[in-house]
Amino acid sequence: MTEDKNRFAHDRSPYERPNFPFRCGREAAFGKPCPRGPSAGGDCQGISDCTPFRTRKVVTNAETGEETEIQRWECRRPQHAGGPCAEGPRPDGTCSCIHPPCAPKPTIRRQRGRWAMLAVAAMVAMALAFVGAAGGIIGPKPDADGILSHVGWPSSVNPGPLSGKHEQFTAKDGCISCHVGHSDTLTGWAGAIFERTTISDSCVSCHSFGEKQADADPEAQLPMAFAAHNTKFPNRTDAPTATCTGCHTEHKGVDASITPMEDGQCSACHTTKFDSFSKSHPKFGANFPHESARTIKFPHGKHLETHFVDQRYIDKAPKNGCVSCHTDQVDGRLLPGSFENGCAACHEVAIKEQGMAVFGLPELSDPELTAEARDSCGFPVPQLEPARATLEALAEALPTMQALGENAESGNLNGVMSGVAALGEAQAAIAEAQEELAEAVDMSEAVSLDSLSPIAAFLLAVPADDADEYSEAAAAFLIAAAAEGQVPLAEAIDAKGGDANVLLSGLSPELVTEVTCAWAANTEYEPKQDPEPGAGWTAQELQVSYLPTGHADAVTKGWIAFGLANRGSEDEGAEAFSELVLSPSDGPGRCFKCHVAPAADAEKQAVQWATPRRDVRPFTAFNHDPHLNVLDQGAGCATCHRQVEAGATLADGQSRPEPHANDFKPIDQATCKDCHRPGGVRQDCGLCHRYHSNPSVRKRTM
Amino acid sequence: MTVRTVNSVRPFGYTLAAIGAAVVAGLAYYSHQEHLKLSDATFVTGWVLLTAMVSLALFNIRKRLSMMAMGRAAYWFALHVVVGLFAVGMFIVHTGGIWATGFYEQVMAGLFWATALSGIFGWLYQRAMPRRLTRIGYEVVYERIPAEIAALREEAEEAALEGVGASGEPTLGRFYSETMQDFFRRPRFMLSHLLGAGAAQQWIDLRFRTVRGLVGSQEEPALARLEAAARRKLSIDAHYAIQRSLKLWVAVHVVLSAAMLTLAVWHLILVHVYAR
Repeated sequence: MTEDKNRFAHDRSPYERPNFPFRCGREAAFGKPCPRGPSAGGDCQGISDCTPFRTRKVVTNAETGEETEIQRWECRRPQHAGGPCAEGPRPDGTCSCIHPPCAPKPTIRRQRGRWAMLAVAAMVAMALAFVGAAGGIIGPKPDADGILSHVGWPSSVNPGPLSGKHEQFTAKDGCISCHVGHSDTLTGWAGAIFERTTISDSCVSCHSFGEKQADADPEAQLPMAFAAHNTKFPNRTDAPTATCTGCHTEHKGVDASITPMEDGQCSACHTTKFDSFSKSHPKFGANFPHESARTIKFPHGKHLETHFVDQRYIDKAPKNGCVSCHTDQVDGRLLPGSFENGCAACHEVAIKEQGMAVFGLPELSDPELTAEARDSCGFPVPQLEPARATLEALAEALPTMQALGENAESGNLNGVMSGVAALGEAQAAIAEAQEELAEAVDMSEAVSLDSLSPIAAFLLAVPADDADEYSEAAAAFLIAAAAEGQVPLAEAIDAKGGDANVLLSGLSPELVTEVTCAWAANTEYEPKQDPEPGAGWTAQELQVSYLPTGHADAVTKGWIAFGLANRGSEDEGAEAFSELVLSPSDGPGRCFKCHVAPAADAEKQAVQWATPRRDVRPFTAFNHDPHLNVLDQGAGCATCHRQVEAGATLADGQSRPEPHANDFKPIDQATCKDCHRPGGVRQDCGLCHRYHSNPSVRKRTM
Repeated sequence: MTVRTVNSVRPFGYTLAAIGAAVVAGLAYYSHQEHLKLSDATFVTGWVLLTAMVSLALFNIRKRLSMMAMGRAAYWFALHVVVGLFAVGMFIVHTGGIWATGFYEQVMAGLFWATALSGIFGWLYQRAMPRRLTRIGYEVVYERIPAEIAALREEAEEAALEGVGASGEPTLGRFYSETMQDFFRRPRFMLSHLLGAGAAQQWIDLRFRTVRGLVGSQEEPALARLEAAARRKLSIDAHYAIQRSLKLWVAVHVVLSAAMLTLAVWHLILVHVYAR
């Protein structure tokens, strides 16, 4: 059998094209197809071989010239089906070659289109059905408590499970917890397509950076640049404005970490770029990590080399090296423990003994200036005991005198004689009492030769060393104090801007009255018992003093703050007052033996009493724990923290830093590189540096 | 007149491929740089990917507009292949991986990879199968194959009747009715033809070698005619198997593409609602 190359000629085969939607039903069963094939709509056209065509022909009668139209049905069977049939069309114009119909079948192309439409419909249905929390048919529904139990539910909106904590956090409110575009209504949801929002706004409604600790501890307030690394630095206008989602990509699974950063991301903003820590990390600071002044002066060398080896204190010396005192672990740092657990063993008593004389009886130009105070004091005043004895003697003498008069009128001589004798004794007692009273209230010689204390001089705004100048004011103060206790002192403090409630906390008005009354009587005050260390407010002889009750005494801190507030003031006596209060040699100022006083020219005149729990380098995170485990057992902490020898100079040529600054050498970067190098421990930026400062969460989940 | 051959498409394809690879590399670099700058390039890469996918779908429309002078189909096909491979690269750049974590994104990723893999398979298949069809040594339009088979069946039946009439023996008639009739009823040995195996050929050889020893000289011409029809049927069956597989592959590829594009549009809506 040879191939007939011409068998598909138009007159020998039907017109077949791949894009026909239907094919003959007989052909689909590999039978002989009908010549006409199905219609475009899928109807069988093979019932007849053709659709006869009616022709019209006009015939003119040659004789009459009359025209007649002749209509005939002609067979239109195509040539490839055999051409016009012999039978021809029927008179009614139907084909005479009739066949049973077939059921045309869709072609592959047609089926392909149907399946494609079905696939589109299936995807749309799936998308709408699994919208879930957005109101779809299938998906999580809130329970009675409004909680969505949607873990594991398929969703056509959720691009993936949230990380663990966010998964819990969004359990109740669902998508709208973060996506403000997520709306309960379809119109709101659709409208969100055209509204530009940022998820960062939702993030910071829960997450905060730096503010929390600042609120709790104002002294730990750090500059804003430290508080939020993720905001544009004011001096870096070229830096990109970062968003939370720029780094933290969610919906990557419950166990996915959404916090890692690449080193390259740091280099995007940081102008100093380098390849790796071991290769080209910028050098540490000259005194790293001790650049900033400490809040506590603790000369390690002096303690380690002198005090802790002194036989007197050796039983109080730390037994376990550095970690004996550095007991508090905060963010991987080993901070010194509390005063009570460390320093108190040696320094507690000294603190309680560092008393401060607040005010006293000065030498007055005229002791009688306090006479008015005596009027206020009344009885009983210990110094006026002689006067009371005189009165008692007079009282005792009165019956005797009365009896003597009665005996004289009645002529009772014996009675008169004995009465005269008794009267003589009474007169002698009265004279003695008068003598003692005169001696007690003798103002001719002042009991005090002291000048006015700097504190009193400052509060009264008078010169401390000129009795003529201050006597009247001091006397007025004492007179008022005798009558009203500590009130005039509190008023004077308030007038100078101090907080009397703090500064005079614990000072009883009775004590002030007793003391001033004694002084008004030109006598020294004698307490019932000698004051013990840490007794608080006490008075003895010519002074009222304060002995701190212990470490971190509020009154002492208050007087220091008061002194700092008036440091540099031009008020009368302010300089002497500040020097007295802040002097590290005595009084409250002795706190500065350990605590760092603010510099005289510092903008903020306040003492940072507590060691900041937050790192002053908020973007640096050094975790001591893993290092302690690998350090040389012999060297220990000293592997990195090496003391400066006495008299030595630092690497940058500077002399040994101030005792309170630090007495350790800067940490050598090479020490770090011993381990943090290629092939060793990781050395990416994120190992030691943090992007956020003190991140915290405002809201809590269940 | 210069006659351009298929080979003239290759430089075009290579050029396109080079451009596509360069664009993917450039966008990958851009995306990484944006990532380093704490910014997000996924909107850019996503729109590029969607544009690529839509342009791939337009290839199907171009085939429907064959009456318009829009360049040779070979160039369009080369463009389709290159853009398809470009889309694969863009998908990886856009998603940062090859798979997703969410339900609908997993469905979409699955559809993407199924579409891409079916496309790559089809590309290779289309390069291999036409050679096979050429080696058959016979050409036939897929849509005419049923009619061809019907004609061959008539030819075979006539040959069998001719043999019976010429010899008066029923051997050839029984051979056709008992052995060959089912063979001529529809395409046979589909898998063998698809794989290029010789099972059908061996089956025919065996049957005719057997029957040749049973027929006389009067039946020889009819037997030869019947065998010729059977061997022509083998060629048609091979055409049918290969052409049908090509059409079915396109159907699978198009259906997957339609589903994937639908979810891509859904994804586009979602990211504009939620991710910005």
